[in-house]
Amino acid sequence: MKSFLGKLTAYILLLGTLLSMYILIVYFRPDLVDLFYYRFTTPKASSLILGSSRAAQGLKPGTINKKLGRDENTKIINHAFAGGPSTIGPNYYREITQKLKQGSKDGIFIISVTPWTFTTGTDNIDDDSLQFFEVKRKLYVGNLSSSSTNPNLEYLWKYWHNKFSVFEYAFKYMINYGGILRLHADGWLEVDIDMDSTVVNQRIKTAMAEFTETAKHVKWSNTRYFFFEKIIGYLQKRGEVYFVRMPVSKDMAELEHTYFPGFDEQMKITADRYNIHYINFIHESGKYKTTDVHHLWRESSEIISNKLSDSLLYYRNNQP
Amino acid sequence: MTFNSFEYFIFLPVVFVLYWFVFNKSGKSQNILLVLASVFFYCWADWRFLALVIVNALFNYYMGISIAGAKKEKTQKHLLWAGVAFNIAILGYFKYFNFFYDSFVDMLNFFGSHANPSSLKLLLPLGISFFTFQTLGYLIDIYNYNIKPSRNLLAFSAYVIYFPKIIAGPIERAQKFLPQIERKRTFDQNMAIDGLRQMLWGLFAKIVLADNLFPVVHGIFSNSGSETGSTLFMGLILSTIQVYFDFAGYSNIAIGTSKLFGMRLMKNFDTPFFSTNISDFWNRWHISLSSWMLDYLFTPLSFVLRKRKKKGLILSIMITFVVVGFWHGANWTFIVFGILNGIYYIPLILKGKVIKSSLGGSTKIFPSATEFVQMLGLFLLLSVTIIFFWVNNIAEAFTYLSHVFSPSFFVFPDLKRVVYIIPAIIIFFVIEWMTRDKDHPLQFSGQPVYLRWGSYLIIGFVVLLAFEKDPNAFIYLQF
Repeated sequence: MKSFLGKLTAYILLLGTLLSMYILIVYFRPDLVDLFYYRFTTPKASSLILGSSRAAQGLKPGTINKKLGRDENTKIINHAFAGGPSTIGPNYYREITQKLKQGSKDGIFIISVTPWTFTTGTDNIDDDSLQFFEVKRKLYVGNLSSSSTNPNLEYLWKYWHNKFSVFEYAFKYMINYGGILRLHADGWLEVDIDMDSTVVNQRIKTAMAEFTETAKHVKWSNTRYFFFEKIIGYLQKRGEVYFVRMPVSKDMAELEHTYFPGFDEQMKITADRYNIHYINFIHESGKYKTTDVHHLWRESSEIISNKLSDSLLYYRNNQP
Repeated sequence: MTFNSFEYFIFLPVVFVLYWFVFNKSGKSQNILLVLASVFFYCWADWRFLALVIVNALFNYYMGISIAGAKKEKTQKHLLWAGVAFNIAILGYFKYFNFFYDSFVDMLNFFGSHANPSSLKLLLPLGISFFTFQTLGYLIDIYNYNIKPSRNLLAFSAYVIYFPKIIAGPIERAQKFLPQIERKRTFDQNMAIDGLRQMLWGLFAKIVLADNLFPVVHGIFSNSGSETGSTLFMGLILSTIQVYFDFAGYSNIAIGTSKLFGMRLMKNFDTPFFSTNISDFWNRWHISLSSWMLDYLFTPLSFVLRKRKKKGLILSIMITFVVVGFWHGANWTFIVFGILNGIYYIPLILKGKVIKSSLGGSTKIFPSATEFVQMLGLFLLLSVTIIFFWVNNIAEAFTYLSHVFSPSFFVFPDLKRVVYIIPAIIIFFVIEWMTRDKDHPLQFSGQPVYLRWGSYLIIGFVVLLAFEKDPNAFIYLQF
């Protein structure tokens, strides 16, 4: 029995060592875990870009920081995720409070608004936050005890579904595979995929069909709007808040206009009520290259980030 | 709690330590622990039917003694039939009531009556098909004087509820199991280490392969209307492999776990995809069920029908396989699964070649071209039957098959979703082929230590990476 237990212990220890080495790789390259893990390993910040995947992919903190002259302590990071996890609601509110540096005062907060992030399923009759998709599914945003620990073992245990991702990355790297999604340390999600017009058009077609279908099964949520106001209130105590509406493909802009005709007006009213600038690029939809129906291509992201920075500079320099 | 859950890897070491260090005074104390641990294990999975398991154990224990104790053969026969009827009635009620009721309603509706389907949906007690067949076999063996009845209620209870096999087999024979459980077990290091290796291989098959294949197969079957024929064909192949990985993986974990407690369970899979004919296949696939059917159903049936010669044999095979199909589940799909397997036997019977191929045990490095073609052909035929595990009704299966054999069959399939799993599957089968004369592929003593330990570590590491906090259920748990 002693020999058996000895061998078993040796095996477990060796296996533990292998696992620790793997986690060590992840410690140095958190971007290899998945699309969003990196965000939960970077330090807390005083300025944030918030919203869904449009912001995650479309707004480059590096460009904005450079233009606004933000240093290491005051730099803005992208903490936008995707439609599901970072839809406006209780979870995202919790996440924001967790990622913000304690006691920070001079922050800049760019909230990317889309009508979709204010919706809930039509079956959620009472507009109950407990029925929100991200709440019911206990998605990672707002459900971790820390959003700034490296390695974030809680995330790795609970939400790292494809633990072979490091090997996959190495394999793709070796064969020089083009379709790489890379999350940068500042939170920008770089998407390097096939931009051949036929492929893009196919993506647009598929996504349009999906969104058109989704639009029929969602409705405006006052509860989400309540949390939106709660987030604004929280952030305004810690700095300046800006709303931005990202440009999308022409098809998507039309679809949003059809299904959410009063959205821009609603945002304007909210912005005025809270004395916030609303920087609206929706009318420039179709002008910039997108990877699909609503995500900006990386070069378009650079242009929009520059334009947004110019607007921010203008508003900051011309404050009453 | 299932074998691939986090809880199991807490439960197992605790029971192991208690078994060998605290309850190791006598066979009785070991059995007390095994029964308690098994009750805990069963209740964790589903406590609602524990009473049913207890009733099964008590009834069959006393029935076994009664059959053996009866003076007249006629009384013995009556008692046996009573025992069989009781077990079948319980199984029939819980597993088949809804099926028969709904089929009856469908029939009435077909003939113009307007009947409503049953609103009573009975829950299926976990492991009922496995423990019922086990105790049925026990009673028949006593009646046939193959074994003496157990007079040790504790040991018999352990036989019924033993946690490594309670929920999905193997369907253990009392003849082999009871002598082991009725004596005190002493720790055998080689056996325990071999058990761990077998568990590791089982976990690899289940967690790494089956669970990664499942979403691919499920995706193809869910969107079968919009997939190309070639992708559907790929789904057909992968679904068969997935079921094998899932169930053979489960069986290896069960057998390996049992070895840790000094108990040997019967082999349940023996490289079935290297079979060259259907008879050979059923000698190697779900062996505990197929041998049960052979001993308790096919053999008596073919004896009764022996005067009809080949026709009698065909009839016996068909009845046996309808029961095999029906054992899997209360659905017409499983009956078709059984019928197809039965039909595959007919050419063999007509040629008088219902024999076991010796290929699995041979030491040839490569199979001959003929053997390879036979293996491949059989595999494709089997895939057509396994499809019935994945569909909701027979029409769905035939629609799927008709889409496979469409012009889009010649379009290159969508391999992106299986780019990583295909090499792993190939490696798995190559290793299985190379070690087909062993109990399991990790039984490679005699190899250099670095090779053995290197393999254990790589497999263990891959299993750890693939481990999911919320594990996928084993397919055979539903049966």
